[in-house]
Amino acid sequence: MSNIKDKTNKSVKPEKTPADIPPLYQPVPVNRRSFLSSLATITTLIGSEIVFARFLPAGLIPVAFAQTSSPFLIPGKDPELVLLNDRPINAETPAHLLNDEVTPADKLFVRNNGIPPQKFDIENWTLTIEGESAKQSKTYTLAELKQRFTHYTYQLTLECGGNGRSEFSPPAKGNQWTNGAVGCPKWTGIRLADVLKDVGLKDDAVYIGYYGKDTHLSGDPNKNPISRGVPINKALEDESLIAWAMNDQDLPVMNGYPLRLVFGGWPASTSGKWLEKIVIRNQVHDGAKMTGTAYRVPCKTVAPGAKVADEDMCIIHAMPVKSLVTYPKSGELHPLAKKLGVNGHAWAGDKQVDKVEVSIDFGQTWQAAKLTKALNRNAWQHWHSTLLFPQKGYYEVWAKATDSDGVSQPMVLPGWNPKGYLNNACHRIAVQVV
Amino acid sequence: MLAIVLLCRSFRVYSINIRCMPVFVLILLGMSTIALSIQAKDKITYDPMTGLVISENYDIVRAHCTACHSAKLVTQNRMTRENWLETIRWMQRSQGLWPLGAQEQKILDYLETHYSPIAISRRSPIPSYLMPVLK
Repeated sequence: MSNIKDKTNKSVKPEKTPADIPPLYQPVPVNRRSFLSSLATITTLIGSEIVFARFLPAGLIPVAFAQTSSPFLIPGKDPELVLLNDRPINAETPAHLLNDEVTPADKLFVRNNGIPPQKFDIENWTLTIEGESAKQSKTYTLAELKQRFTHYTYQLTLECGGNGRSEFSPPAKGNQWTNGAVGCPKWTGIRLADVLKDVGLKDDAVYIGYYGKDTHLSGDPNKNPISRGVPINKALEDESLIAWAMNDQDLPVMNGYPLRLVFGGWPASTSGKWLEKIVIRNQVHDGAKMTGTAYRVPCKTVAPGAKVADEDMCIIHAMPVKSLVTYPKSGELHPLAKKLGVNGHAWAGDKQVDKVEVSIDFGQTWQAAKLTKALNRNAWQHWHSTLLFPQKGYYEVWAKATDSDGVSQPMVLPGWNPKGYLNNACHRIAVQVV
Repeated sequence: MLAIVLLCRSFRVYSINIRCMPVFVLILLGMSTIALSIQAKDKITYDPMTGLVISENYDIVRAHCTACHSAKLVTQNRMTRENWLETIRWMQRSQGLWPLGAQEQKILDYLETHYSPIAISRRSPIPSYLMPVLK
């Protein structure tokens, strides 16, 4: 690696040699090589690079990324999650594995911006609240947080702002999420509002920002991988939690163990993981990935592929109305004589879903699905419908949700944006009636 | 080739020679296209370690681009040369990427060759891995 040959076959030394790179990022040892060459063999066997890459199971993480000597599973995750990136680890859940009303912890997607903490000293884990608009700086231990404040449990939908990015054209850079960067587990913790009020908010407070214990990919300890937040009004809502449990268990390591923020209905990047500090700001928080183009869309809609200046990009707030078909799995063969039960979920940021409709004729006609009420605000709702097919053939089942303001999902891609956020185009599954 | 010439000669019996020409050209074109695509397919090899296409400047790309992050961040993306450069500048501005010097152009050559955008429709068909498979 240190001896790169250029065209003239002279040795060219990279301007930064591996010796300058922190040990964690050293070129990969034999383990990874042997692991990946066995993957190469599998690739050869199935005969397709692209298909293989798509289905690299999350359970098969190259060992070098784990800093261990044997292959391992993403801690606490179903091996059927699809791995999009291994450094940092990003994995999504195939739609048919999201069929549960309450998403099991092992089926919630993983979106990391940096390297998660490796060691957890739970006794000494603290959360500090400070900032220009905090009346004081205050530090709580994990135990204090649990003892001093009332506990609340809510089912809250978390969706990555870039969920659906893979469909944009021209393509947008970043993890190429299809549909699976969403889930709605049950979260337990305390209200962020209760803690902020205990510290004291100044009148000029407009935003909160978080800091976590994850580290930057470059290994630079002075860089934060991500430090985002929400406006103060979202922070003070009843359902905005500082959480330590998912479905009555400790948070999975990849989802922020032992402490995280949860803002249901907003881009999941606002819900900081491995939480150690919250700042109360008198301005819009300007931490890592709050500025520039990150988690922003053009303030005014633009043509596909347009260049947009940073100052014309606006921060994403609540996520748009969306739905998933979680049963059956796309690719189903279904007998003509039988009815087909289809079901899934629908959600709408800070709003409610009023209606879900399904179509089996590419959107020409729609039938209303049965829709449940949300367990609480910011929780997804469940829909189901029964389909009868007129004749044998190829069908697509499309689902379309409409929110409480009458806004519904588009059939084609919504407004193109440079970073590929907010694709809420209707989910489609393929069914062959035989 | 001989077979095609013979085929044309046999056509000549029934038709005028000029009608054979387009057939001849088409067959030749078809053959060369097939040959080219086979050649192109054979040519693309992937580094089993990183998944990057192995070709000119691949070693430079691997050295600079995988020091900090996974090669998957490259291989799952497609960008114009201009956007790749923008991404490099962003990494240099905010992510601690070092100056690439003369190797920058080589890196861009490589990325443009292998990881340029592919034109797709406003909404593509459901991907093949989610389609029904009839026996």
